[in-house]
Amino acid sequence: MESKTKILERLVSKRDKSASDLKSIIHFVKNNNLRYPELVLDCSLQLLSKHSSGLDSEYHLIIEELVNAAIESDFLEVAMKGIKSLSRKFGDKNTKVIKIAGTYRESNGDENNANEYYDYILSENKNDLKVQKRKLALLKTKEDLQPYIEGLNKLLKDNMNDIETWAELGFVYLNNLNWSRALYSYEQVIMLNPSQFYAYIRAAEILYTQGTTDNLYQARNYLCYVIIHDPEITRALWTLFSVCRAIDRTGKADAKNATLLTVCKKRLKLCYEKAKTSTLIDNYNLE
Amino acid sequence: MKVSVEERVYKKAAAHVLRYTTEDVIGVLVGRRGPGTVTLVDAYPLAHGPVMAPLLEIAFELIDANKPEGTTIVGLYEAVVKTNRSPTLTPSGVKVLEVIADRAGADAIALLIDQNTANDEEVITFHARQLSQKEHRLSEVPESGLSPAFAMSSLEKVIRERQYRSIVDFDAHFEDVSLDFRNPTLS
Repeated sequence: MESKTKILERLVSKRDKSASDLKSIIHFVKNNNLRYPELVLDCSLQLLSKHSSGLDSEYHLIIEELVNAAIESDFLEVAMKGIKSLSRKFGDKNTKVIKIAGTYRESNGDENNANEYYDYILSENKNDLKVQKRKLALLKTKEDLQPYIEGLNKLLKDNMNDIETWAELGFVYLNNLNWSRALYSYEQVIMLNPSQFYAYIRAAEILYTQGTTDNLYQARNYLCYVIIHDPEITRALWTLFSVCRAIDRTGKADAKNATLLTVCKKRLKLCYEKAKTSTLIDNYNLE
Repeated sequence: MKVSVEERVYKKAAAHVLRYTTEDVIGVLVGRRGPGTVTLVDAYPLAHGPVMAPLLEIAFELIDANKPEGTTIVGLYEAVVKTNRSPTLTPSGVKVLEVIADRAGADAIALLIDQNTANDEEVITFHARQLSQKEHRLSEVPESGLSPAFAMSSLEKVIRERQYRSIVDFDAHFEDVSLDFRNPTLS
């Protein structure tokens, strides 16, 4: 299966892109949760400058993408022009416009105003989870992350099934080397959605880092689950390779370990051959 | 210790920072050691997020298998996303640096990268630190051969031609092994 990066490269490399090509790139990046803000910005600007008459109902959707991309790429003047355009179309009191304006303020370092915008939205609808998260995100820039962590935990009390917040909490705990809490958070993600393979891989990485033979075997279980469902997830293959080697070094390896190690090596070689990058592992001992 | 830095190190490290402006990034430095000197020869972007032990091990091994002849892993670079936090190594960065120092049996070098906006222009600055292998204590490098003018001239093309868009770190490589972590186009 072609990787998302390769598909995107193919879309981008086309010369003389039509409006449809430019829209395809923007939609592909958005629908696959990829982070290429400057690319989206380029495509949006081209659409608006060369193909605006043909956009019709999509015109303001493209402006919204442009604004979000401009904010992320730090082209704040461009973002402000986009926000003014959205404001003229939908009005200053429109929730979406206020949310975007709040994000703009955040990006500009104007946290007080951003907070006010979010508070206004929450006063109209206190259950707006996206805005609660944005408001919380203001705490992420501080030196002391404890209030941010407390805020995430508080958010989870009212929204126990919110996978995004559990994953974010796990990420923050990981960055602060709090392995046990990070592991708990990622295991919550797994329980809420057993097809979130990245959570299994993260949990396995944490278990490996924590050490102990039991943890290594648990890590191996998580990774085997991922590979059974998708044998081409190379991150899982490499991590499993690492875990099996570590189990081998303990002197307490079971019979399955040697087989798994062999399977890993074969699969990895195949993946690199398929990707035509075998040179990267030519001098690496995968025997 | 005196540290000197070759152009490709600036290019790759800065490209990594520019590609992931909303995340902390970390990378590995390889170089040559001489009496009282370290020359940083190449950089391998490692991750844009937390670095975990199993993949760090594999990344080190892959770097060892692919690095320029006569070089060893001598340190890391790290950039913390623009926040109100004071520029310093993250806890994870310190751990990785300690691993590098222990692995090499010698002091390790850290390049801290700041990305700021001054007069509406992006300014990337590099600061050098060293971690003593015996005491695991971080200090300033007595004679850092970092040249701000050289760094900025190296980065001009990277920024102007947006070469940073194609930078590959090990996070990206482990997701898609067709992506080359050596970043030959930036060498």
